[in-house]
Amino acid sequence: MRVADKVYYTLMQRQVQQSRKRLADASMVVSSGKKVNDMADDPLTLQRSMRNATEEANLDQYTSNQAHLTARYSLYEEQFNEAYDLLTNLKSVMVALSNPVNVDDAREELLNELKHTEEQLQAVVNAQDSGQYIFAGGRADQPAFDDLGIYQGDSLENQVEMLPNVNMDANITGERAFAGVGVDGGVNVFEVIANIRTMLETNPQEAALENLDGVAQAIEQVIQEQMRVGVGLSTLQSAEYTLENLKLSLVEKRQNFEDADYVTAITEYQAQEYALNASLQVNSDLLSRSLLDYLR
Amino acid sequence: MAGINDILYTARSGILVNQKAIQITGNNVSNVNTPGYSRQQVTLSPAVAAGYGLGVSMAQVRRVHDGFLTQQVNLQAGTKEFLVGRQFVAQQLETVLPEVDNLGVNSALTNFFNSFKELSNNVSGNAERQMVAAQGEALADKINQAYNGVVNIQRNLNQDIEAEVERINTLMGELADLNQKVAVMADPTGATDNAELRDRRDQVVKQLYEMADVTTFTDNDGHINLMIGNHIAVQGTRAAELTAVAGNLTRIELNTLSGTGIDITERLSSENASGRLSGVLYERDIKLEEVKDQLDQLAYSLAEQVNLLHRGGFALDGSTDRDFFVMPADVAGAAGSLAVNQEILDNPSLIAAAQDAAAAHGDNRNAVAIAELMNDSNTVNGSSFHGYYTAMVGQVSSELSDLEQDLEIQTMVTDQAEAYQASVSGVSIDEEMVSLIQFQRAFEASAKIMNTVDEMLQQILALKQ
Repeated sequence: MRVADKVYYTLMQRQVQQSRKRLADASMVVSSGKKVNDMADDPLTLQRSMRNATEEANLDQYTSNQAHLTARYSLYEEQFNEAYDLLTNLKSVMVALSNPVNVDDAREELLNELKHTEEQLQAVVNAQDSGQYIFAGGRADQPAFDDLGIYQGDSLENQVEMLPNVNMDANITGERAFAGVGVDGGVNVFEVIANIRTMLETNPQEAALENLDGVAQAIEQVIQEQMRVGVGLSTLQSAEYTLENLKLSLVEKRQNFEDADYVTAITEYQAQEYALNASLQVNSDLLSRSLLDYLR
Repeated sequence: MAGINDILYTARSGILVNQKAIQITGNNVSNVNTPGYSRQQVTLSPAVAAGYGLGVSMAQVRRVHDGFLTQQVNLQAGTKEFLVGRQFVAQQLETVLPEVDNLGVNSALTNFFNSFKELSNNVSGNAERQMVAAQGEALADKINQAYNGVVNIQRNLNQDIEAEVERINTLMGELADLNQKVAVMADPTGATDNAELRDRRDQVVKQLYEMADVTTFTDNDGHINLMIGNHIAVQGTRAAELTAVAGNLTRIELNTLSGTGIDITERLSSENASGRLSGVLYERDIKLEEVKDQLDQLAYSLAEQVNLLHRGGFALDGSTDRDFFVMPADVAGAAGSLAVNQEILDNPSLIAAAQDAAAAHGDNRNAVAIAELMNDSNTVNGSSFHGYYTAMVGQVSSELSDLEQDLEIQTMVTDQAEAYQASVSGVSIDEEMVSLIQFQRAFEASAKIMNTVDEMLQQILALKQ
């Protein structure tokens, strides 16, 4: 093929431009540390990267959900512990007074204990978190139990996603633990206390003896809920561990397809630099050879 | 038998013809870098009279040109420029869909649905409700920005298109003018071929191929006629005109030679067209419209699905049947107008997080149901919101990537075609230098003959003394 000067120049321009572009692309990868720096770079990686970003944001949300759940369950644990302590204390007093030496003294002591227990239990069952009554189910804007110990809430137990496709109860209603609803042989703890108080008027010993089972049942109900909270906290702990693993796995995945491997990137950069230098050298050598040099 | 003066004339012809040949060589060398210049070649022939040679004559000065290769270059250049036009427009989508930096609709979608998850942790929390309203607004803004960004790209192209139309009109007028000049200035002897005019005309035709979807054919009079969008636009010495019809999206009308106006926008924006203008129109009218349609579908489905659940839920005050997003009237244009219900922005307690009016302060089921829309794999045309949007971005990204590769390949093909053409028509300095020496030597030899004849005449004149 006959070679016109224009062919030389066009070829040279194209080769140098191509080499410069490749060098610029390689330098972009090195300086950004990313394989994908614009939309045209790698459509598949871009889509993976978008999906990964969504998954990472979701995992951050699970972290927040778990933190909320842990705080709420810890609060439930405190309240149930408090209720357990109050009721076991009441039971101890009742056992001690089931065979009293002095009836009047016994009545007085039990009345004091009942008053204290009732007041403290009212505080427990109407405990609040950020202005919400934690035992009231969905009706969290009003106290879970009224002054007479009647449950005012509902049976709604919210669910919150704590891991992908894994939900957990976000609240525990007071009707099961303190009103005995849905529990075989369940008792309302406030009714038991009211019953003791009524019987105390006639026979303190009988009041203590006959209501021991009711108090024991109330304690059992609280224990059941304590166990439930314990299992919940334990589940949350292991979920936290699972979440950390998921996050690590996502980060690793992202690094694999998104982040540049510096050894490869720098090698590529140097290869392109050599290619550009070679292209410039060869082209300048080609262009410097002309018949004009021999016509002097 | 020729006389001594005939030898003088023979030498004279050698001097004149070689001088002319050197001039042609000089012209070739001068135009080595002139775009579209075809090298010229001198054809010499012996001058003969009464049976014996009387020196040399210049039979022809013709440009070295191959019509087939020129046509190949035009076609390849047209295809290349079509891709250039497409890439020019498509690359602008990168700023509208900033997903490489995770700053686009994708993260806004995630944040919006996660804000409902956060609300489900504390349904009566004011901060959580403010966050849901803010994230809803941010999502609507992102979708608006993406949509309006595409609309702006389309509108900003109007000026470019009008300028291109002006340039095409100028070139079509110039082609008609050159057709006339080539015909008028034709050398009746056929010794020259109006090389400069023909080169210029070829250049004009090439530029037209690069700019628009044109085809050409040469008629019996040697005129190059041009069709644009399958309609005659230059016929011989007459040129039609294109008009850029202003509007939201500028349209292109061809005012034909018969005086009728034909809208050729659709024809020009075909996928199989060529030329930069067609590439721009194809992206503007087909590809960008697809992106707008997809954003519209996403926005409409989002508003529809979220509103459906939201209307069935209860706000903190127990009210219900309220849209979260202002429901777009139609799918078309939904992305440009998507907005959060102003009532909710003014009073986030109206966000319906509950499914039970009596439990509005503690029931999170509606917030959870809305948050779970994110994972629903059948919310937009059989995909999830994220899946649909990711596929859309993936499609744009694939097309950009394909365009980059196609353009690289087409540039090589065009360069190759131009190299083939240059191998025939291009100037080689080395070759011209050889010709220069060749003609210079012939010139010197002819002068030597003239000297010799002069000496011979001196000797003849000396015979008398």
